[in-house]
Amino acid sequence: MSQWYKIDNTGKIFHAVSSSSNSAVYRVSATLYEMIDPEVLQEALDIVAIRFPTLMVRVRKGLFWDFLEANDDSLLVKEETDYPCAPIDRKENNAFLIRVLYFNKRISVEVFHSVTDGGGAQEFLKTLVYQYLYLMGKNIMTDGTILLPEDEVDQEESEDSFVRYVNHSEPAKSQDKDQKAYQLSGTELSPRGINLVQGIMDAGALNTFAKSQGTSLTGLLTSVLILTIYEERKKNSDAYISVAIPVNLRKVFPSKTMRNFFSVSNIGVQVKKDMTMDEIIEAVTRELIKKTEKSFLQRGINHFVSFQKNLLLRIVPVFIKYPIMRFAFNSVGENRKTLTLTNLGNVKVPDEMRPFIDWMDIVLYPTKKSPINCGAATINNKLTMTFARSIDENEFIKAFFKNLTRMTGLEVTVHSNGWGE
Amino acid sequence: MNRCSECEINTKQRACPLCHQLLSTTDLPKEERAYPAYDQKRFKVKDRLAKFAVFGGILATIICLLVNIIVMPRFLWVFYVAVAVFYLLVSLNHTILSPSHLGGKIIAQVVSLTFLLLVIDAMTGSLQWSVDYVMPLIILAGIVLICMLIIKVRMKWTGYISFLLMMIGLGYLPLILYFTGVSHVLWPAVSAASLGTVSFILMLLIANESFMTQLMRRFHL
Repeated sequence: MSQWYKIDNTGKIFHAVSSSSNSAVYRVSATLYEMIDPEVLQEALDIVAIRFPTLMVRVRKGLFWDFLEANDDSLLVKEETDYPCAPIDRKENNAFLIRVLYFNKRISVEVFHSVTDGGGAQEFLKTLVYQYLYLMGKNIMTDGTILLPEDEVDQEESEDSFVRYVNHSEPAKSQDKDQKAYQLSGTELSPRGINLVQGIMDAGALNTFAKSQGTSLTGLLTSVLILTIYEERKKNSDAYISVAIPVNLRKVFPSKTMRNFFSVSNIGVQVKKDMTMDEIIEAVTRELIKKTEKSFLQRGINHFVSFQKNLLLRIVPVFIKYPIMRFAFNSVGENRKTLTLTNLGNVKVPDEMRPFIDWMDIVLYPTKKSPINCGAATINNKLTMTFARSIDENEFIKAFFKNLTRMTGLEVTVHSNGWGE
Repeated sequence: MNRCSECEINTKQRACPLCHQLLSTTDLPKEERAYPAYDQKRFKVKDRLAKFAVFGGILATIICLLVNIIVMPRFLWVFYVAVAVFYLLVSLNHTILSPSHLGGKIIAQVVSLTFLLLVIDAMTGSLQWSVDYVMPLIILAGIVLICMLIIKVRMKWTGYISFLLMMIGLGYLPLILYFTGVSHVLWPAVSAASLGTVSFILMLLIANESFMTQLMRRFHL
């Protein structure tokens, strides 16, 4: 009998709220220096798939909760033809909730968020790229920074780490109630889809600049986003601008889980007319430190688990529960942020793999209430900042790069997928 | 590398990715492109088809409502049109265009077709033939169809279990309607409920352990 998994705490929310305008599908990619050979990539995928059983699943309907079941079909690599992060068509993808795409020199992994988070997808991509390079005849010595295809699957990789780290003696609810944030809006792209704009810059220089400003790289990017949104806002008044930042809980609560294990911290600043960039950076850094502290994250874990353990919520059938969850997500959760910035950080791969990888990126799907989202990833001293938008208006993105280059003096190389243009 | 002085960025693309200003006359070689040239027309057609169907359905209903009020205000036949439009929209958007599971499409057809016929029956003044015969027989047909699919797909039968359970649950609805006095003919109601029960027992007998495991997964809290 095939293996099955309960959908984890955060995965349940993504499963309930996903729709045609909120695909809940994100992408992590690695762009190599050579053209991708699809046959070798398929061979690599066939080997790697066995190493990641929690990702090779399909969703099944349940009465109280849907669940994930091992999918024995083959996951096939496909050439990229559609816009990034499009909803996964179960028929075309053998019902897998993950797809592997290639285009020219890039290998992309797109994942439905109920299956795993950016941390899990990143591990899968790293192992896939390693195996691909190995099959292409590259001799790579590993150093423990990636999971190897021949390694035994650790039981811990399939655990729901929220349950492991819940602390029932501490308060379940977050003490800070985030206020309603300024929302971006615009005209939906025609045809509906996602436009990407990616800017590649010197990660080391950007990091040095951030440190000189007394903040981290994430703090700097968040501050520039907030300043730019404020400058580009439609109404000429003060605004509470909030950037939602997913936090990888594995860094604070050691875990090998390949399933969702992250929390979201809303970094908000009440921006006023005479506020300087330095003041924004200071406010953002203060918030970032506070909201990534272990005690704050612990409260978030407790909150998530108490939500899942709620008996009333558990005994309500999914066809009633999901619309309620969707309503709550759209009317409460989505109103608390202006956009999301996810930062994969400096991706760790074996040193011998580095010469084959040009750059990496992460694409976060936009939603109706958050029509522009962004993701950052760094490798080989190249930081890729990706904006994914579902609306026509791109003035904010244009202004962001202008602000960043003027502020830091760095050169940015930009490209776009041209969707909707 | 091209430079856009307006946006203050560099790009390999022919036009600036931000302001679309032409920066070079030579196209980027295909193998240097970061993203494919999309067939956006295909997406536009799909988008428009779905929007046109909804718009056309609403427009047809409004026109019929106006004609109905002007020509025959005492008999609101527009409800026949409205419910038929609803059924056609469900059929187009879910049954035909959506990538949903076949089992889900059968359930959607059973529910929307039953709703269509209930409204048509109710329009004549009372619920009779729809609850007496049509509803139980449509549900019965739904159970038969899903059972046939389970036999056909064999190894992949577990994919249809949730839908079969839903249909079995629905199979008891006509019986409830009979005992609450809404419907008046017993045999179709008994047939639907019996077929549901028989399917359930057969599944238990044929795939005992696997079926029980599937039930446990589907009812997990």
